[in-house]
Amino acid sequence: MSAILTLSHIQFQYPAFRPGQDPVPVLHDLSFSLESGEKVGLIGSNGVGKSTLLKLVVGLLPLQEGTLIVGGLPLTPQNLPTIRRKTGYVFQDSESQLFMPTVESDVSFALRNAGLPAEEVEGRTAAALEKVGMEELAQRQIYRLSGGQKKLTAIAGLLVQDPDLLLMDEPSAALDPRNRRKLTEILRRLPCAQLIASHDLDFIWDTCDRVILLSDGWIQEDGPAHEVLSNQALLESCGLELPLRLQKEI
Amino acid sequence: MKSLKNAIETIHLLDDLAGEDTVLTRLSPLAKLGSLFIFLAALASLGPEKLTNALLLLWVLPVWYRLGRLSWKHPLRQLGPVLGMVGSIGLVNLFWFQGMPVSLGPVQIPGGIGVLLLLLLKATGCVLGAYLLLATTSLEKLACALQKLPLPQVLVISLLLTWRYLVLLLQEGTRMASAYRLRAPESRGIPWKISGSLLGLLFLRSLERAQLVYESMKLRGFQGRFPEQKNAGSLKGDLLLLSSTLAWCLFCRFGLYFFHI
Amino acid sequence: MHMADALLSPGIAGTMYALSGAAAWYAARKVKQENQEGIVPEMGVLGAFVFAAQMINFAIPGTGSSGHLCGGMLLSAVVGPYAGFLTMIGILTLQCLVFGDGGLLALGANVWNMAFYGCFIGGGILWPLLTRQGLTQKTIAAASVSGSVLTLQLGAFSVAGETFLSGITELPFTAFLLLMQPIHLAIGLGEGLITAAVLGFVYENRPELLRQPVLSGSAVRKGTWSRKKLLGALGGLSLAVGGGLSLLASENPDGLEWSIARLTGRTELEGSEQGIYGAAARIQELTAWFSEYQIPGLEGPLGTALSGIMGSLLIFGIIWFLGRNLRKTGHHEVSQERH
Repeated sequence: MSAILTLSHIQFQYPAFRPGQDPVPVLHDLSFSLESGEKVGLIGSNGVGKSTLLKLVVGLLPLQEGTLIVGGLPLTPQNLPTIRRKTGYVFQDSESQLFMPTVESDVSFALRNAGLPAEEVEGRTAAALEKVGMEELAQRQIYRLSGGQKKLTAIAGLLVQDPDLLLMDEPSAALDPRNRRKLTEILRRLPCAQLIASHDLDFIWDTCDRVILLSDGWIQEDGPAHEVLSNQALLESCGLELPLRLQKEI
Repeated sequence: MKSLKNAIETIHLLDDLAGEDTVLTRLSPLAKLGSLFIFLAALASLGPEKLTNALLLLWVLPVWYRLGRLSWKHPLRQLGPVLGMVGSIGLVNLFWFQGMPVSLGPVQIPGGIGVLLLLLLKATGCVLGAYLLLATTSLEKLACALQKLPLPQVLVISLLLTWRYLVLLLQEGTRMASAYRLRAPESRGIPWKISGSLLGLLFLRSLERAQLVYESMKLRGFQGRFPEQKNAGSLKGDLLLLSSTLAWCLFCRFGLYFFHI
Repeated sequence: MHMADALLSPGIAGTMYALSGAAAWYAARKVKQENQEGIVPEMGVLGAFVFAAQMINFAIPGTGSSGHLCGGMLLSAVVGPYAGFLTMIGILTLQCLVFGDGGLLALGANVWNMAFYGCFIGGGILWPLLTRQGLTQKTIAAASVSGSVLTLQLGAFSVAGETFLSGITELPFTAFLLLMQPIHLAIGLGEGLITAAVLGFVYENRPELLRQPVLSGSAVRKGTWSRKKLLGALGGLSLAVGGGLSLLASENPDGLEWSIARLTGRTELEGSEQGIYGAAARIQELTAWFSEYQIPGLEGPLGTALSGIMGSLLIFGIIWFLGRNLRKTGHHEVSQERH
C-alpha cells in the first residue's frame, strides 16, 4: 500500500473580516496520511475545520504552511490540474455542484471538457451512472431530482474521472434512511481512498475503517473507527455524542 | 408578470416537450432558430395592404405544431396578454386613423381596422412561433449550438447557468413569499419596506451559491467554454426545414402578386 | 415594457439588434479585460435571482400599485455594468422564449430599452457618480431611485420611438410619449425604492459585495463631467431625439400612405361602400375622432397638440379601466391561493 494523501504540519487561518481585527486560526499543525483504498472518517463538532481541510486538499483554499502531497505530487499551482483530475470532491450542497441542466450532461461534463471521444464519454458516463444506480434517470433535469438523487449524481460526476481519492463533505446530510443506506453501500464498494467529513457518526461507523477526530483545529485522535466512535468520554470532550446505535445499547 | 408557480410549471412543461422524440426535436437548434427568424422577419415586413399574405403565412404554424406534436393550449394562454397589449394599441390607433381601405382576400376593409387586424395576426404569429423554439429544443442544446455562432462565450455560458438555477430560485422565491403570506394573512401584498430583507437574503444566498458553483466548475476543469454535446439532427432535415420555410415565406411575401391577390 | 414583435418593422428590429449586439460585444470585451475571478457563475446565478426576484411584486405606498426590482441597476452595482448587461441579455432572452414576454424579433430592441439604459446609464454612469462620496444608505438610495427613474424614462422613450419609426400604427409620436412617460415615471419610482431597499440591505450586511464608486471613462477622468452637467446632457439628448422624431412625425404624418402608393402604384385602395366594407367603414368613422391629427373645427398646430393630449387622456382612461379590472382578477387569484 502507498500513501495517496500526506499532510505534514498543515496550518491555516482565515483573514480578518474587518480591518483591525485578528485573523481567525482554524487548523493547527495537522499531520496524517491516507493509504490507497483506505476509507477515513473526519469527525468533529461545527467549525473545527473539517470543510477547510477538504478545500485545502483540492486547492480551493491556498496552502499557508506545511506540505500536502496528493498521489505523489506536492500541492503546487503547477500540479493542481493533475491533482484535481485524480481527486473528487463532493460538496455538502450538491445542488450547487451540479451546474449542467441534465444528469447525463453533468456527469459527462469533465470528460467532454477534456475533449475525449464521444464513444468513450458515453461509455464511461453510463458506467458511472450504473455504479450509483442512476442509469434510468440519465436524461432527467437536475432540478427535478430528489436530494438523494442529486447527491448520487454529484458522486457519479466524480466517478467518471476514476479518482484515486474521494473527498466528501457531509455526504449523508438531508438523506432519508433508505438513500443513506444506499450511499453507504455504494461507498463501501468503491475501490478509491475516501476522506469523509461528517457529523453523522452512525454513517461513519458503517462506511469507514478509520476515524480522525478534530477538536479546535487539532487532531485529538486518529485510530480504528469502531474504537474511536465507542469512546464516549473522548467524543463528549470534543462536543460530540456516541453514535445512536451505541446509545440504544447503553 | 406571471406568478412564480406558473413560471415553474411552464419551465417543467417546456422541458418535457423538448425531451420528446418528434420530427422537430430531432432537428438542429440552429436550423429551427434560422427558420423562425425567416418567418418572423417575413411576417413583420408585411404592411396592412398585405393582410391576405399575413393570413396565408401563418399557415406554416399548424404544420410546425403538427411536426412537433405540440398542443395549442399553452401557447394560446401566453398569447392572451400580448394580444391585449397589441390590440389596445391597434384600437387606440382607430381614434387617429381613418386610412385607406385594404383588401382581405376579395373583401375590402377600412385601413384602421386593417391595421388592427394585422397587428393581431402578427402578434399571434410571433408568440406562437417563438414558443416553438423551446418547446422543441432544450436550452442546453440551444446554448451549445449558440456557441458555434460568433457570440461572446460568457453570454452563452451565463445564459445556460441562469437556466440551470432558475427553477431553484423561483422555488426559493415562492417559499419566501408563501412564508410571508402565512405570517401576515391580513396583508394585501408584500410591502416594499420588507423587500430589502426578503430579496436581500435571497440575493446573499444566491451569491454564496455562485461561489460554490465556481468552485465546482474549477474542480472539474472548466476553462471558459462548455463542451459541445453530440450533434442532434440530420443535415438533410435541417436543410429541408430551412429551404421550405424560406420558400413559403418568399411565396407569401412576394408570390401572391403573380396570382393578382 | 417588453415590446412585442408585432410593433416593430424588420428594419428597426435589425437596427436594434445591431446596436444591442455592438454593446454586448463591447461589454464581453470589457468583462474579459476585467478578468474578475468567478464572474461567470456569479452572472448565471444572479441572472436566475433577478428573474425570480422580478416575479415578486411589492406594494408601493400611496399608489395602490405594485412593483418589482430594477435588475439592471442591481446587477451593475454588484458585478459591474458590463457583466450586468450580459446577464440582463440572458434574462430577457429567457423571458422571451419561456413566457413570450417580448418577441424574438424584438429582443434587440428590448435589450436596448431595458438592459442598455439600466446597466450602461444607470449602473455605469449614475451609480459611480452619485456614490462617489462613498457608499452610504443615502447615496445608495439616491443612486437607485434616480437610476431606475432615468433608465425607465429612457426605455419608455425608446419604445415610443421604435414603434413610431417602424410605422406600424398611426398613433402620433407625441401622444404615445404622453402615455408612456408618466406611467413609467411611477413605475421607475417604485422600482427605485425596492432596488434601494435591497442594495441597502446588502450594504448593511455584506458591504464588500457592492461596487466601490470608481468612475471610468475618459470624460470622467478628465474631471469635466459634474453631476449637474451629466444629468443636463442626458436630458438634452432626450429632448433632441424627441424633437427630431416629432419633426419627422409632422413632416411625414402618413408613412403608411406613402408605402402603399409605392407598392401598388395607387395612392388609395378603392373600397366599396357596400357590404362588409361599408359596415366596417361606418364603425371606423365613429371612432376616428382625431383623424389627420385634427379636432374638427380646430385646425392648425393647436389642434394637433390638443388632439394629442385628448388622445392621451383617452388612452389613460382605457389603461386605467383595464388595469383596474386586471387588478381585480389578480386579487381574486391571490385570495384563491390563500384558501
